[in-house]
Amino acid sequence: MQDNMFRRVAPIYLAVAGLVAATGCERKPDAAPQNRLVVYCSVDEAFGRVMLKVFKAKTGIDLDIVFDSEAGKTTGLINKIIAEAAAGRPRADVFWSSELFNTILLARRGLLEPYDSPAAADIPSRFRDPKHCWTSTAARARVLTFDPTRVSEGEVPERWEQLAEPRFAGQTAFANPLFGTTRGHVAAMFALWGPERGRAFLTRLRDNGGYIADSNGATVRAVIGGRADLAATDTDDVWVAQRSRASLDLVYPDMGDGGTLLIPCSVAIVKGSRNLETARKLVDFLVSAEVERMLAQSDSRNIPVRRELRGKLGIQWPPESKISFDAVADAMDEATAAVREILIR
Amino acid sequence: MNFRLLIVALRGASWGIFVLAMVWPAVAMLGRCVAQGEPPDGGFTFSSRQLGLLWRSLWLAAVTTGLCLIVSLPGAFVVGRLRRLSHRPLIAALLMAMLLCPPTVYAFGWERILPATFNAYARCIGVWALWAWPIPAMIIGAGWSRIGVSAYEAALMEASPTAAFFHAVIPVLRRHVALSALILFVLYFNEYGVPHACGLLVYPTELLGWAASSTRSIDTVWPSTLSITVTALALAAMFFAWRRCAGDRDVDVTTITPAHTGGGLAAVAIGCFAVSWLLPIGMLVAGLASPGVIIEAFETYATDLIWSLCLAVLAGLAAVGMGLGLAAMRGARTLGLCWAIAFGALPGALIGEALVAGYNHASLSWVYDNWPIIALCYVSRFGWIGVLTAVLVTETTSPDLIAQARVDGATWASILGRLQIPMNWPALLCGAAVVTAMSVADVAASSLVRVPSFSPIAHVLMEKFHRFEDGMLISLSLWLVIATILPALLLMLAVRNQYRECQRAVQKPAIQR
Repeated sequence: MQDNMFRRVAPIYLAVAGLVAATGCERKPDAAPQNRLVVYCSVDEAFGRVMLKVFKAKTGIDLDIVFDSEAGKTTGLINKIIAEAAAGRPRADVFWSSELFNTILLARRGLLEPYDSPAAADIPSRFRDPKHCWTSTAARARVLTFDPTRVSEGEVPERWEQLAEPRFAGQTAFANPLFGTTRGHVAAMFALWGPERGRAFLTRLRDNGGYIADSNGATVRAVIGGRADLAATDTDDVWVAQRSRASLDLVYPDMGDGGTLLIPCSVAIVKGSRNLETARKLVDFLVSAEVERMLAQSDSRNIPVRRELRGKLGIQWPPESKISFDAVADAMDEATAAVREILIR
Repeated sequence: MNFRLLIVALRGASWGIFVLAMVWPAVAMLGRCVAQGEPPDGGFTFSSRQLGLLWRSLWLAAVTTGLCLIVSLPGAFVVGRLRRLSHRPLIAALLMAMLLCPPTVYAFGWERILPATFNAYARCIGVWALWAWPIPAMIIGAGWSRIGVSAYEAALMEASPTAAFFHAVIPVLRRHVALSALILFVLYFNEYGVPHACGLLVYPTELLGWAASSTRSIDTVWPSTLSITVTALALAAMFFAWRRCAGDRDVDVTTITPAHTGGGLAAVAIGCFAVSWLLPIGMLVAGLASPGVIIEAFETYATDLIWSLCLAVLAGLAAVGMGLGLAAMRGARTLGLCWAIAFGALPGALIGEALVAGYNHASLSWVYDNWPIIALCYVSRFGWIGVLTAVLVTETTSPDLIAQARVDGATWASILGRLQIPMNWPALLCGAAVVTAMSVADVAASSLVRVPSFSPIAHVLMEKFHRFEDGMLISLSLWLVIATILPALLLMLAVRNQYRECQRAVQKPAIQR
């Protein structure tokens, strides 16, 4: 009887092992179906999934989506694209990023395919790559959030640089500046203030004992949990926390040149895409006013870069820093090295 | 099908999985490190921050291991009093149901019970300990079913059952306590999800950050050396503790039947179950806004949920199968076991990095781009539990019976196939279930090898947590709870069936060539 049981179980086990070995044989690296795309998406899963579902419903094109983790936001996917290109086998067709600066760096490495989408014609030129490697839409702003029951708005810094003052020692939280929008934010500080002032800011921040969380969402939770009084984060993280009845408010601190940093999402085709025509259709959709409107009306409340759309939706463009996106991208490497040396080492 | 051919094929497949999941990735990663050379300027350096995080991970893991062992003792008492879990399938099912649910689900439940200002360290320790106590309870309880019964009976003459258990039984179960401590420490020291859900940065968080922020393997390997050193020291300490206790000998429990019950400890064990499982899961159920959300969650994430569970189950079966394949080769099994434990004890981020190094090649894209990379990822990280289960089960199966079979000329392969697997398959199923549970909960390793076709459900849960999507978070958590019920029921039926077969087997000799 025991033999019989073993004879029944062993073939099942072997069949499963054989299935593992055989699965991939159906997919050859150079042959992608016309009606299927691989999308690398660092836009938050809840919103990205909805938008991409709409695209699928409209076109019938299947999408295989790789989302980034909250902790490794954008940086993880960027490095994946670089590593896969280096291995000679880019997997993604389209990259939809929650920020822009890393996309610019990818374009500079020659890893993006130029495409001038007709759907982006009404987007202001500063949000489009002159070489057509990327298009950006739907911005979020860097903000400071706080619990108004514990901290009055008057006590909140008006400028980002004040965050490192001794009076805020042990009260601040910010995400690991090696990732996501915080990485671009620190780079913008370096670009605007210069490396010396940027490094001095990071040093003071470190000496103040700020709480380095592993994501923007975690900084907001730190404020809710009373672990910090002020958190540097993005607007959408505050909006979604407010939706869950968290007692939070926000301010738009000044970078020193009249406003805070606004970070748009970006869309690009990955060089080596095996399905260029279909990828272009997706880009057309993602940069369209329709998607920008949906993102603005979602819980994420992204700010449309199209002036006309903002007017229709009654959304104000917050006071914005004048630093150029290219200048921020230029400062990324230096800022990242400084973060590693001063904060994260 | 020819039996001998089956055994050979099984062994070949097992060794194939072992090489694909544990050997090739390690070799590829080391090769890449050598090719890439030294870490660049601005790379990782051992600083006070890193040492601080390491120290935090270390004391969190050590304290939780100690607490979990203490919490598990009433459960171990109950399991031991039953002599074998197969005598009480319902108890076995309850223990497995608790363990099979990812610890982050409990973390989300406890988040609703405790105030937001509750100490994050205490919450992390509590969630961990209350989730994993069935592991030491089963190991120590199983040990007590073989060792220490006579000492307990003697102690009962002058002490209460509780006092007898603590003073007479536990001291002779040092090996089992050491094994439990080893498993718990390795799990906690490398776990990312619960600290993350509690808002704590630990060393695995830092390692995942280094792995995600660099395309160079050395940037992950270099910081991992700290973590690996600590784990190696822990493994060495446990190994020596194990060897020192080698004198403990089994007792034939069929001749001894405990006469007294420990009502107090049993009540405490029931209380542990209520606090560990009913309370957090109950809070999640209570927090569900409407039943419609749970349907919506399934409709939206059915693909992710089903793929994750299927691959985790596959990984569990593959891990135990791999262990059986290794166990069937007497000469190589010690090496295989050591390699599996050493590789599995690596930080999750490093295992993910090794898999990327091993499979991010044009010729291997069919693995890297599809679900096999996720299955391999789970086997790489948690296969050691399956291997350990298989080796321990095969080592401890009726030595007299095995010796007789050897005298009769049976090969190790036929002993494995005809005696050890059929006699121990509920235990092997338990091993597979534990690997499955760990796999469902994995975030650290699988975040580096994500595939286009689905998102591991543990990642989706984390995303929902970050986005304050309580409805979806609770719904998906409850789906995972529901998913644990079926395997728990299957286990219950399996152990009951096994018990009945054992009773029948007593009537006639089981060994046949």
